[in-house]
Amino acid sequence: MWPLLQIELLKIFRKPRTYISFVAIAVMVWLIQLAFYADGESYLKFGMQALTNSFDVHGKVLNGYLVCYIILQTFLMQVPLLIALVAGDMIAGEANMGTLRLLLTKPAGRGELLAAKFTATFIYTVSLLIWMAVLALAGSILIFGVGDLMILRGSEVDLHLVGDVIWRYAAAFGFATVAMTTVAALAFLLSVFAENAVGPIVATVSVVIVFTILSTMDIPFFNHVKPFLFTTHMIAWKGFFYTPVPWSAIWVSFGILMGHILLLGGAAWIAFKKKDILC
Amino acid sequence: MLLVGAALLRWEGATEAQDVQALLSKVRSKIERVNDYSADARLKIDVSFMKVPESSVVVYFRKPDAFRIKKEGGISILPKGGVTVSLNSLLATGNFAAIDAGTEPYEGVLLHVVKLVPLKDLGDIVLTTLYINDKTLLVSKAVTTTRNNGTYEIALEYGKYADWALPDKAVFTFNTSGYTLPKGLALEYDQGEKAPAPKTPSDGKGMIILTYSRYVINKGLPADAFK
Repeated sequence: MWPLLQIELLKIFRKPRTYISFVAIAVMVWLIQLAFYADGESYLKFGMQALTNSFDVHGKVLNGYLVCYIILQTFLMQVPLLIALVAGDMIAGEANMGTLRLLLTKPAGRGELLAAKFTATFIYTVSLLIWMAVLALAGSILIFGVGDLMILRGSEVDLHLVGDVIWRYAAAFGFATVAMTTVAALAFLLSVFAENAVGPIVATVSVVIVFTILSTMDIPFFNHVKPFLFTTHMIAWKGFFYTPVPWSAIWVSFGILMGHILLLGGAAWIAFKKKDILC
Repeated sequence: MLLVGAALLRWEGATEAQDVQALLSKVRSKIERVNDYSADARLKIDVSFMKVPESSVVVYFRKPDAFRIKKEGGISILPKGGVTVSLNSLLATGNFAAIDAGTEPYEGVLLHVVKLVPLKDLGDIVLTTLYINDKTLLVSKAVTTTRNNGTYEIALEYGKYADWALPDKAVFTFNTSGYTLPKGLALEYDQGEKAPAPKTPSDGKGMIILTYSRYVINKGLPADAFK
C-alpha cells in the first residue's frame, strides 16, 4: 500500500488547489493577528465590557494563547470547507478525468486503492491542522507572547494559568484532527458517488452548514436530534478549555466522531466496491 | 430631677463617644505605623461563575489608600471596589463619625462594635462597621456598605504580623447577585447532562481569600507597583 499512498500524496500535493487551503488559512490567521496587533486592546475592552463593569481585570489578557483561541473559534466553519476541497476530489476527480478506470486495471485491489486515498486525505487533513497550529499558536505566541488564558464562555469566566495551557492546545488540535477526519470521511463517501468533484465538495459543505445551524439552534424539537449530529461533537475541543474538563462528554464525542468515520468510511468502501466504472 | 437625668445621659453619651474615639485612635496609631508594604500571598477566588485557580500574588500598599494585588506575568480578576479598600484607607483620614454599637461575640471573642459614617459625602463608602478586639487593638471584621459596589465583609486573622496590625489571612465576602455576565454569542460545547451548580460560600455570595506568607514593611515600593 505504501507505493500507492506515495502516489496519492504526490497527486494531492502536486495540485495547485491543495495549496489554496494552506494559503487561505495563512491569510486568515495573519489578518486576525494583524488586527489584534493593531487594535486588539480595543476589541478586548469591548468584548470584556460585561466583566469589567463589575470586576477589575489586571494583567496581560491579550496574549498568544488568547489570540489562538479566538482564531480557532473563528475557523469553525472554514476549515471543514478546506478539507472538503481535497477529500471531495479524491475519487470524483479521478472519475472526472477518466483515470479511475485506468487505476483499477492495476493489480492493486479497490480496497487497497481506497485505503491509500483515504490515508492520503487523512495526511492532508493533519498537515493542514499542523499548519494552522504553527501559524495560529506558535505565530501568536511569537507576536503576543504567553500569559494566562482567560476565556468568557456562556455566562462564565475560565482562567487557566500560563503553565496549564499548552497541553490543552495539544489535546484540542488532536481532537480537531478527529473532527476534521469526520468531515473528510463524509466528503470522501460523497466523492465515491460523483463523477465531478464540485458535487461532493458543495454537498459536504452544505451538510456541515445545515448540521451546524441545527446544532446551534436552541429549539426543543432539534434538541433531540443534536446529540446525533457530528457537528455537535466537532466543537468538543472547546471542552479542554473548560474547568473542570468534561472528560466523559469529550470521550462520548470522540466515540461518536470515530463511529461516524468508521460508518462513512465503511459506506465508502462498500459503495466503491460496487461502483460501476464502465459506464 | 429630670434635668439631672438628662445631664447624666448626655454625659454618658459623651463619655461613650470619647471611649470609642480613644479606641479608634489607638487602633489607628497601630495601623499608621505601616507606611507601605509588599506582601507575598496566595489568592483564592470562590465565585460561582468564575473558574480561577488559586495562585501566588504580590500585594502592595502605600499610605493612605493605594492598594493593589498583582499577579506577576498573569491575570488577576477582582471585584471592583471591594478588595481594594483596606482598613488603613478607612481609618487614615479620620473623616468619619464614630458610633458605639456595643459588643458582639465573634469566633469566641467579645468584640467592640463601632459604626463609622463618613462625614464627607464624596466617597463610595456609606457605612462601615468595625469589630475591634479591645485587648489586641486589632480589627477582626469589617462590614462596609458602598454606594456602587454593594456590601462586603472583610474577616481578618492575625498571626506573625499582629504587631503591625497586618493579617495573615483576609477573607473578603461580597454579594455576587449584582455581578452578571451576559450569555456569550459563540457556539459552546454542549456537555449533555448539565453539571451540578458549583458550590458557593452561600447563596449569591462570592469570596476572595488572601493568605499572606511574608510582608516587607516600610522598605519602600517599586515605582510601578500601582501601575
